[in-house]
Amino acid sequence: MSGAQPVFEVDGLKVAYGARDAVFDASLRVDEGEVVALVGHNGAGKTTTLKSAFGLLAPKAGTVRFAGEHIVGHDTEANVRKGIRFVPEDDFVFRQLAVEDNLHLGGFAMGREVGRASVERVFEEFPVLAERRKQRAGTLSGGERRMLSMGMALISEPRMLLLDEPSLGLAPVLVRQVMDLTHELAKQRGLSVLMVEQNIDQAVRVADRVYVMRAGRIFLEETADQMRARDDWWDLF
Amino acid sequence: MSLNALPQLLLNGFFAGSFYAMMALSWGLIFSTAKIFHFAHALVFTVAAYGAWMVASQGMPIVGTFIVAAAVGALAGLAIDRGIYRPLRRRNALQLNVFLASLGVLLAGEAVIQFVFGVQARSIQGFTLSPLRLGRAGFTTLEILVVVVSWVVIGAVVLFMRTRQGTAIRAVESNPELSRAMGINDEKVYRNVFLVGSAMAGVGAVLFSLQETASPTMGIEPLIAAFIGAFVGGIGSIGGAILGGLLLGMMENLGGIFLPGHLQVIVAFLLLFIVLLVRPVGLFARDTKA
Amino acid sequence: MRVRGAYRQHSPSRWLGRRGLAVLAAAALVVVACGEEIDPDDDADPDADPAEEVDDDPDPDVDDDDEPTAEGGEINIGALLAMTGGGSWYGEVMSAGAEQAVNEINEEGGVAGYELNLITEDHESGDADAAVSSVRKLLDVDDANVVLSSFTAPTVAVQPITSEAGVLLLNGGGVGDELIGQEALYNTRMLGAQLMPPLVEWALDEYDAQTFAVIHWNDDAGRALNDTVVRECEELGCEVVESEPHEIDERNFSPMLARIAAAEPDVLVVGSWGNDVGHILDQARRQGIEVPAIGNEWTPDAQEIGGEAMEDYVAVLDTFDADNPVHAEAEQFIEGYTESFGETPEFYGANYYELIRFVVAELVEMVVDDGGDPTEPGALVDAMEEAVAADHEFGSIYGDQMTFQGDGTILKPAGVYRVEDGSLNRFAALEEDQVVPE
Repeated sequence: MSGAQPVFEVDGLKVAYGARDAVFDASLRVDEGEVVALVGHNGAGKTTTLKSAFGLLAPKAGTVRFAGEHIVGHDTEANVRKGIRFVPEDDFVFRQLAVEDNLHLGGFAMGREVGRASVERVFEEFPVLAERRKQRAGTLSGGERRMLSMGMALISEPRMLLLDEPSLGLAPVLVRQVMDLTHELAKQRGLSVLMVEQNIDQAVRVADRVYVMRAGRIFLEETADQMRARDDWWDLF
Repeated sequence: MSLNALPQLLLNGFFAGSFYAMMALSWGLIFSTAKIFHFAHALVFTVAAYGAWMVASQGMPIVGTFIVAAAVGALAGLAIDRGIYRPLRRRNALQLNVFLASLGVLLAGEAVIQFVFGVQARSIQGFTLSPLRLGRAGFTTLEILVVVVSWVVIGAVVLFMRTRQGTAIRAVESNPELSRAMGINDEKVYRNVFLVGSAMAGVGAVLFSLQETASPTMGIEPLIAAFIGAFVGGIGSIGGAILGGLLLGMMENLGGIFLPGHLQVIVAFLLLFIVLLVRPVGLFARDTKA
Repeated sequence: MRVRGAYRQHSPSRWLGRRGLAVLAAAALVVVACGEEIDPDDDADPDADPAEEVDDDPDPDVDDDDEPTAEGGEINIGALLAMTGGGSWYGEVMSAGAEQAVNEINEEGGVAGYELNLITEDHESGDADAAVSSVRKLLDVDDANVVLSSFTAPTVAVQPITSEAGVLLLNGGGVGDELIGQEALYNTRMLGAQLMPPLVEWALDEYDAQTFAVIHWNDDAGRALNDTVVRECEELGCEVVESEPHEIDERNFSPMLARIAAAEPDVLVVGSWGNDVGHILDQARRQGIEVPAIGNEWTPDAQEIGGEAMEDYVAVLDTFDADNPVHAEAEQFIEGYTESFGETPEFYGANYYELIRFVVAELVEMVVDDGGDPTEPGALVDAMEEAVAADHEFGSIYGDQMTFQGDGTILKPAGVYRVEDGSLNRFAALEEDQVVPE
């Protein structure tokens, strides 16, 4: 994008699990309206980076800025209220609760600002969910659950989405749908998206820029065009 | 078999069942939300009873005694969570270790109480009994008090679960990690369930001490009734805990139709084992996949 | 691409697994079982002392004495009492009586040149396992020469051990039938089988009763009492319509009481001891059982628990009348006890005082007079057997003397008491198997 300040900036992030270091000195940025993919091998540290940026894990060192404001150490409630939403890679709906209750919970941190009207708006956007509003989320299909998880994140009208492996467990046609939705959210609604993915094909298809992570370090940053131009990606992993 | 005793046994079963329903709910809420086998709930119960005894013997009216017991219980339960469980949570301790820690707190706490207050049983003053009759069955206003207080407390908790905080509890109960991702403060939820569950135990402690007495080891049997009721009825289900407690109370007393008195303690465990074999999610749980 | 398995389940039943829950339930069962052992209410021998904690003992145990004796050495007296649990009151008063006797004797220079040393152990209100392990310690570590015991089950449990070791076992509290005729065991308390029949006969007349219901401890003492009542009724022509055993320290008597109420007895017999007496009467009255109640025990703790429900309860008890000391020694005991302990003594304290002050002391003297060594295994046992065979009259603070019967039981003054306005009032004596109003 232009020279405007990035909406999301991670600088020198170090994360450890107990004594074991998992992420070393990770830095990345997301500009407004961008879709940025963070790709890499199983266990490269992508999810750890994402969770630490959001506040689900505490980093050992480093800074994270959202719209210029430092957010490390803030709890997830504060981050949600600021407009950042996180969608986990699995177990991303409340299975025992009904679809509409899930949506209400998606907006919980916003308090009164998110009410019935917001839930209805999500249903308008995802009619499939509306048909199943009273159904228990555990009984939905994989794709419908993923859709619900997106709805739960969007209900608070966020500025930024952190998606952890959105394609996981989905059939190819559904993966395309999810990626297209992500692209649309960014381009038509101005959301900024940081997406961790193992499905590089699909991620690169809709992303603007790509970071590649290996063994806890981000060692490559390219535009999506540059990535797409490569013959293959095997040497990256 | 003694069917003449049936009306009395049915009534006794309802009295006991009402108390067990409240206790099962108090313990089950903590277990299903924080995933802790809170053995030390028995200690909270005992501490609240002694707090109640202390104010009651100074002449506090019974309403005040209940309030003090609920408050003392709530604080004791919260202290145990903050002091023992939360540090273990933060370290991702094994469930077995948490259970052992809880058991350890209970045993140590009972020893302290015995040391401070002595071994003898204490009765709580403040409520005078009047006898009542229903056909062939006899009881007193104390049994009525137990029933009324138990169901009022249960009702209050059911209403509380409909509030915003109750919704947050349901979320954390269902999926703590996702709840945090949604911006729900899970530590606040744990605090709330310990406060509510422990306050209920405090109220139960007064009811128990009025019917019997307060003593250092008083907590273990109500605790066992509570967790059997909760498991039999179905963990994670408020209605389940309530119905499980009621069923336990009824069965313990109706067992009296064919079992000699000294075997009635077996009834509770028999019920639990049968439920675990036949329908382990609990008799009244709504979904079989839990 | 990673392949994921099923999503994690969050329900605890799933999370623990069936086996896990069954293990938990079993663990809970174990804890309950342990809990019951820690707090059973075996024979409780209460005394008429209010249950406030007064445990003044200005005289420390003889252990602290600077001058361990004269030539004789020490006689080690082990005391196996209910120091914790529902019967803790018994332990308090019994040890108070025993300590006083030991202190008095030692102040007088010991007995036959021997100083007395009292070691107290806890059987946790009737836990046989705790009793056995305590007695092992008394015999092996403390080298006890005589053991004072209390409650039926602990006494019965340790008797084979003490008997084999040649150590005399003296019981001043338990009342069960199994205490009769045992090797090297002697009882200074009247047993249920001796006390209940006259009371049953009295109740038959007093209340014009045809039918009795018995609620009793599910152990030797309670069953013996039930059997006694049944036998007595067979002779007198009344009927026991319901016998309800219950576990010691049961707490919830409603099913038993419901069955008893349904049987519509004229009199309720309480064959239980300790706090259970209070709980039973409290719950019986709450369930609308209004018929008169009689029994073989009353304790201040039970009175506090039962409260108003205890009114008009009638019990037959050994009598130690602290208001009318029978002789100077009794007076000395009463004064000393009241001063050290802060309460007037009742019969449990008296029994344990007596056991040491008279029985043990006299036996030691007998052995020494014969030129023997009282600390030798079997010495005191043999002396006791000889004394009983010769109808030896031991001193007693109940009267001038007491004599043991051949089967190890005793005859002592007993009285019949009624609870009136919260306190125990004696209204009759037990004389030659009859209740004789005073």
